Amino acid sequence: MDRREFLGWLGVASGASLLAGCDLTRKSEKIIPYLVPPEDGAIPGDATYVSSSCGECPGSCGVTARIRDDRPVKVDGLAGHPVNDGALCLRGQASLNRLYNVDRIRQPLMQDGSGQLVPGTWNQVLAKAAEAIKAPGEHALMSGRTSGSLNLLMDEFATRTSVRRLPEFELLSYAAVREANRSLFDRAVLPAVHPDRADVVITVGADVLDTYGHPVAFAGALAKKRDAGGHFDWYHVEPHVSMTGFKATHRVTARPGSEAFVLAYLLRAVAGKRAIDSRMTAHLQSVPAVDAARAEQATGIPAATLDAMATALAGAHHPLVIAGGVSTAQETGLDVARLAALLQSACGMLGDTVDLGRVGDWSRVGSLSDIDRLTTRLEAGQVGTLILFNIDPVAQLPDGDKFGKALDRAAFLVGVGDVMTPTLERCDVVLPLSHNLESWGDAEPVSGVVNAIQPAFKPLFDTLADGDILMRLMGEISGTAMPSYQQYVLDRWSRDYGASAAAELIKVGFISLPVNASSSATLREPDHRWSFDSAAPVKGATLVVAPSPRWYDGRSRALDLLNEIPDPMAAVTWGDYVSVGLETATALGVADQSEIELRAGGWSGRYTVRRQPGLARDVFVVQRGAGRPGLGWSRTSGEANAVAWDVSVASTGMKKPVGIVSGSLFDDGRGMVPGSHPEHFGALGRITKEHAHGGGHEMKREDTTFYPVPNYPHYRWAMAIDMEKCVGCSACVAACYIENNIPMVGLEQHLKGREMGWIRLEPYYAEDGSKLDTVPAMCQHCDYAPCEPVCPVYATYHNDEGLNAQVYNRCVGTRYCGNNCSYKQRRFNFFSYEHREHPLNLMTNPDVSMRGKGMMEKCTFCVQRIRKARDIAKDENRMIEEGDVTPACVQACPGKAMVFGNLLDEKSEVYQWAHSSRSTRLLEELGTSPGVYYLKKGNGHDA
Amino acid sequence: MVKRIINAAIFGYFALFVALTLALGFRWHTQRKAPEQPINYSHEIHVGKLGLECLFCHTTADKSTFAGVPPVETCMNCHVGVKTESPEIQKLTKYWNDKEPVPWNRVHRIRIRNHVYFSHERHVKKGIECAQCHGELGAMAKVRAVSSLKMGWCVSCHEAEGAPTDCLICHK
Repeated sequence: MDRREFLGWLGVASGASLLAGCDLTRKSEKIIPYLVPPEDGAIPGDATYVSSSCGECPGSCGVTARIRDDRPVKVDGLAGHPVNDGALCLRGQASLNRLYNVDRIRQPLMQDGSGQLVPGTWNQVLAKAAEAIKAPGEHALMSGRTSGSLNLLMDEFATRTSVRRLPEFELLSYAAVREANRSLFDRAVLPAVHPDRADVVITVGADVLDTYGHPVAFAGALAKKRDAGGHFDWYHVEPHVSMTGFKATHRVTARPGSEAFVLAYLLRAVAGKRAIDSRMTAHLQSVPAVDAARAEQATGIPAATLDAMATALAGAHHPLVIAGGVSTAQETGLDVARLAALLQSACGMLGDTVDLGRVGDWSRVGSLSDIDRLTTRLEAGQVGTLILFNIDPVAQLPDGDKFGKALDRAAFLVGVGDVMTPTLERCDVVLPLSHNLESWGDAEPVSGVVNAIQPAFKPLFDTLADGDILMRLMGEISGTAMPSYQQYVLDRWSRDYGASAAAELIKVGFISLPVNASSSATLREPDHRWSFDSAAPVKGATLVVAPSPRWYDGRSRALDLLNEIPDPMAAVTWGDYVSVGLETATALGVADQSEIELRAGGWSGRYTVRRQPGLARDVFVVQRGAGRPGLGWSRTSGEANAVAWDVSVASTGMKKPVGIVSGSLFDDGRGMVPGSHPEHFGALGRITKEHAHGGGHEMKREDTTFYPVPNYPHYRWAMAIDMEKCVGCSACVAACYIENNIPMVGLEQHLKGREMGWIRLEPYYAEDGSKLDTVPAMCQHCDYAPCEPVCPVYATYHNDEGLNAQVYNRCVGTRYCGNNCSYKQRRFNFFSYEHREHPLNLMTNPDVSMRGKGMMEKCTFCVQRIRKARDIAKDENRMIEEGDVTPACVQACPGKAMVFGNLLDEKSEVYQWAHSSRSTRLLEELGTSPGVYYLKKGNGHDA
Repeated sequence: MVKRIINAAIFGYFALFVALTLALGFRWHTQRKAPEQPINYSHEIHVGKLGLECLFCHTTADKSTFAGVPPVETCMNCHVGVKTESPEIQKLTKYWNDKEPVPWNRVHRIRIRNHVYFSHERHVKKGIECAQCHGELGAMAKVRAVSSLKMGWCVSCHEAEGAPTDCLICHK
């Protein structure tokens, strides 16, 4: 063609591309008013709050649900609650995902005769269940741990319908600890602990910051302890690695199965230095003698470390010893628990740091010996109807398949739950459960504390609350009309607690009652034969199945959010992975993303390798919920075994990628860990250069930068994070995801490095695996942000309050800003994530806009919350004050490690922290002058 | 021959463009017209003749980000007895009896609403009269948008009145 024709075609082509920009499909928008204004006076655009109780684990922290547009959009800890005091762990934050889970069972289901579960109505399924229960036979009900009104109602149910209540099923049952306390103190309880009173803490296996007991309470107590100052030493002994171990002062690796030797040695060493009575002497004489040499030989722990532990313990005024986790979930587990209890008694911890009076109600929780008995009865055809109430034994038990087959022998199975599980699949009828936020009820996290469970709105689907299911079943069986569970609960509160306490339960969300049980106990006569010293020695490779900080015992794996958020130690999101030590990996010839096969006893499983610094040679760690390693259970304690040895490990030669979202496990000298380059940085933008020769050469910022000094007239929003208090739990990450409508993108995108979390915990290990620093990193809101000058459309700029602003409308998606960010904290929407499937589309905070495809997003310091505070402050004609604004991450933190506020306010907490001697900033030498201050880990406790 | 066809095609193409522009212009004009509403509610009667205050019905305009429209109950407070013979009132009563809220068609729309935050409360509390942005509702039988509600229009008033023009104020 000639030039004229070419130009003609060029015009056509450019014109055509213009047409593509037209949007002719805009339909008219509707405004739907109320029919009648809401009776609580709620104004559209304003939030109301309801106090309730978290149900994601048996801990039952107090929560407050923020309700916008007639639905809960955020769950936070209840401020002032005796257990969690305003903080909430990542599983609690993600419990909102459980409410809006796409996989929720939406209506009752029943078997259609051909093995399929088909939808039915409540009348149908209740009629079938009632018929099965009224039929002759031995009927039983098994639930998870219950407390409060639900427990009472279940007793009533059992009495009225002659359905027997079986021991409650919890995989992480603390059976060893409870049995130890029973045999030694006649109190079969899981005691509360007071680490804020302790000066020396020794934990053996108990992952107190991950899943053991009340991790949020423990982290909060640690924060209090660190604030109060004074001596504090914490030794954590474990055969594998855990976040708890890395956050302790000293992490001590013991050979798997040898923890009892550590405790036996400590008991001997301490007893020699403390006054003990004759009964304790009798116990000590029964314990096999373990001196330093024998302990070192058995455990692999250097004698010097053991001696240091013994000295610390002996010299402590308020020691605290806790055994649990994987150390009590093995053949020698009961011995470990008993030795720890003996130590508690010998050192006077009972009544001081260990409280036998203030306990969680685990009295009805059974152990695997009860499951064993049930399995035998099932296989013998002795069980009629079995009601499986919100538990998933088939997925969680070590020999879950065997239990599943046994279940099929029951005459009739009634399942209650909220998502389809391997247990519910086998049931004849499935009664769908409402979420805590759709139900009435109560829960008792520890004795003396009662949480109200109050609904935030009406159930989304055709589901019923747990108490209502029981009421309806009772009504169907007896033929009489039963009251609603709401009525039952309210009546009980008035009856058992009095009218004013009942009113407080509704208004505040919890009440505290006096505890009558004694916090200490006397030792009984020794009646136990010790077996730990004659247990078969460990040989070969060891597999440890650890409780998961993200999934607990595996129950929370059903929530997409808890797969999207990386494990804080391994930085892995989606997929089943096995933690392999660095040396072990080299020896096996595998690297990250390689697949290996593990065989233990009759079980085998394939997992992807993720290298884990600090893990001992030939120890492999898999988390509960990742596959189902069948390691059997201990006949002495009744706990599911968490440790198996003589495991055969072989590389399959294949690669099976899991979502590893960390670039490097190590800091590699880059200075990403705050305070790791002390020779470069000082606090607050005063770049101090100290040369090796000739003293200090201080340069003020004005001298060394050509950028104008920023001028903030009223506020400079800044954040400070105390690395000492951060426990690496990722609650901040989960809170941010929910508050800011961050999309969940899945494994494929994670493999391309496209995770969307605005705040992330970056794990950096020391080269030898002896230390872990988890750096919570988000947009640093730098004074001289590298991302701001490079935006071609001025979509990101620095506003006059110190925030690095991102204007979504303007962003055209060049991604230059993301490229320039020195901290790599910008996230790009490669796809359109605005439309979520129902009901997940309801899990959106209306205060934060959903970003479209092609937009860059990042942490905004929760500008929507700043906005809300400014509105209130303007109405009251004042400035925004300290405490008015709390970003989601700061609010969630169990360790109270983050503060936020106005740096220009010299009385604010962030100002105090930023001016502390431990204060530093990330990558200070780049001159970005970030708005986030990190208090580096220090030996002292000066603020 | 071929050349003539190509010429005709190019001419036709650009003519199509001109036609499209005219069509869009016509559409723009109709956008400013009052949309049809399910009930022919007349501000002229209620505000102009009867003298109802804006905040009597639009109660949340000075309390919340959204002014919204009143709940159907507010209408029924009077119209359970007033002028019940009018066909429009009968439509209203039918919505009320069916327990169905009236699906009004939105008149004041910000085009790319997703990333814009506008707080009625802030503006009302600043003392801005409703009529400044919404026009003389008392003279309108049917509500139509008198302002373009485009960003430039918002910014011009912000600049004139000394209100903040920081991006984050609206694009938070």
